[in-house]
Amino acid sequence: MPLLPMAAAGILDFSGKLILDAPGIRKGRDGLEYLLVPGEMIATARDISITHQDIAYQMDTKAAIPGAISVLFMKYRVKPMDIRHLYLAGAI
Amino acid sequence: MMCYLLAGQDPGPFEFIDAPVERKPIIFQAGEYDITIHPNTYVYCLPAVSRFVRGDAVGDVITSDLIHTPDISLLIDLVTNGEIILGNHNWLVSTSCASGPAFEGSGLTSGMRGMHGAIDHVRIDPITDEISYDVIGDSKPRDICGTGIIDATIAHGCCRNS
Repeated sequence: MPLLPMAAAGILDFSGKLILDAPGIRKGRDGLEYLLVPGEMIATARDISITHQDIAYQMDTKAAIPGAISVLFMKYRVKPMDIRHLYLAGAI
Repeated sequence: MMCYLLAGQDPGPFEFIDAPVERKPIIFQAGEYDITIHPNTYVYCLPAVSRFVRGDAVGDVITSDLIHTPDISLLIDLVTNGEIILGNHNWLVSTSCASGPAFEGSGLTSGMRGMHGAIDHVRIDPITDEISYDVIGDSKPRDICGTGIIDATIAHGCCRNS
């Protein structure tokens, strides 16, 4: 059986929400969160988790980029097929 | 904005939507600001285009072939804010978007930059629910970076063979 990302493993639903009854999900300070690494296993003694806010934040970020591209495409009547070169830049 | 801070100029007015943007580079000599290179060396800070499309986007355009070809190109720079540049050797248009630093790990509950100790790959065994992860530098994990969040929440398990 292959190892899966969260959505395929049944931890995230199709809309990007954490599923309450899924394994590893708990109620944190700011709502549901998925515990990746318990604090007692690492030097910082702080749990590493992915919260529903993190996922919402990431989805907003992802949505903003095609939104901005669409604004330019519509305003200057450029179609995706007109693009001959795509450059990506950014930090890690 | 960082160039303003480096040169000791006030970036405060850019808080306002109608702030005028001077499309001129900031140029000074290293000796003026105690930069540890030859004091007479000129430091050239790339000029801004608008409030949110600034020197980094100009640097992207200069280093890419975007301005040397008649083909239409699209340049996407994802940093604290996203910058999108469209055009060719005749024309260029740009806009910015509030992409936020999520991809850099900032603002996340357990986020960090993609450096030593950051989890950058997460997979789950659907039978045992056991979590496996990779850590940059093969050390103990400190937090998760933007790549790790993207990898964990990807809709299809196609990023990497597990």
